[in-house]
Amino acid sequence: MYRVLIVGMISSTILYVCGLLLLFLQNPNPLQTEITHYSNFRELVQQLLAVRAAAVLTFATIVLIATPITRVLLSVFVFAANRDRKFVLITGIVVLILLISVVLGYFWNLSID
Amino acid sequence: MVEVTVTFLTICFLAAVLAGFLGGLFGIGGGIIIVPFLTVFMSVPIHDAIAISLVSVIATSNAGGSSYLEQRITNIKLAMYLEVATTAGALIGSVVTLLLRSWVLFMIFGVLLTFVALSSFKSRASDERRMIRNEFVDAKQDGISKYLGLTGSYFDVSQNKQVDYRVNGASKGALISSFAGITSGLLGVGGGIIKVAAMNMFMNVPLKAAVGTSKFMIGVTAAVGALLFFVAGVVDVYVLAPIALGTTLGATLGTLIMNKIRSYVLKISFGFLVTYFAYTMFAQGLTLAFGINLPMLG
Repeated sequence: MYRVLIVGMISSTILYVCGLLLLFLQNPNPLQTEITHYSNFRELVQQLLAVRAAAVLTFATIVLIATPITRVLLSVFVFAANRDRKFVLITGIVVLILLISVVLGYFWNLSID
Repeated sequence: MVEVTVTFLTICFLAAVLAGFLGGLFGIGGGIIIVPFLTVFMSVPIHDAIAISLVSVIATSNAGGSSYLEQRITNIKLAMYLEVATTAGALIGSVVTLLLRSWVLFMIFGVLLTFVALSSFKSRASDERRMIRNEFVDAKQDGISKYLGLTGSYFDVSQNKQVDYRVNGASKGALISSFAGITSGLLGVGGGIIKVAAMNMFMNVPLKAAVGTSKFMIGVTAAVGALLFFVAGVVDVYVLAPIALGTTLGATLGTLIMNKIRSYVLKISFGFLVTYFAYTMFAQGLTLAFGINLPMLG
């Protein structure tokens, strides 16, 4: 399971380095940052394909946040495979809380726009 | 608005390396250094700083957590059980943060730093004494702990022996862990200090197993708040990038040499650094709330 953590750590690190390099290649002058957020997934993918720095950095952040979440999802399967019902339930609650935080964040995003 | 220049990014990166390094060394997430640094020295608004710090805490946890897993020190079942409490707390904490005013957050952060400073000046009760008395093995498990089969065992390299333990105080531990979760979401920290204390002092878990298990939990706990802030669109990825890179590098270095040095001087200087940050956070809070200007000493 620690491989998930290592793979997540290394890939997000590489993405952050690439994103920062792109940032300075694309904008040689100091820039005012506006928090860039993509309102939908398609927009992010389009910007990623266009290799925009902000999109690469956003993707790096997604990989980083997804790493521990993948670990939790994996352990649900491991506990299920071992027929450990109590721990499938316990880990399931954690997954549910993660889902709630996405929903709450989404509504907050809508409320400030 | 923060102006992103090469200098700005370099300073952020270097500070994050230091924060990650101290984090790896003392078994904390490093958030308690990142947030004061960003707000006081880089003039980043505290809400943004908390969101950035929380995501970088995940990076620290990924770096530190994997090595403990590899050494089989982490108690995965115990971590899963306590994660229910920490994630629920983190959800509450991160929602509350979005609603609170800046000066209130500065004040709460100052209180947290004061506690951390006090605990770093105090020496910990020896685990070795508890091991000799077999306290870890002989403990009577409570209902929850027995039901879930919460026991553990790891090989202690410095003592050259296998350490077995039985978990007790499961409900008290969960209660304290939920408080650790609230702190994490509210202030953008990992809350590792609280989790380690909960396990070591109230749940009969040896210190090393507690630190390893806490590191493992921090990633998921921080992910709850990080996910919420990210989806809510309050994470500034330009500032986050050097901070995440720096903490990853620092944490890896810190974890590598953690077992090799035992410096009393280092711990005391860490205590002074945190005390100084506590002061600056209170000062900033007072300025924002009442317009009182305390000297910033720096």
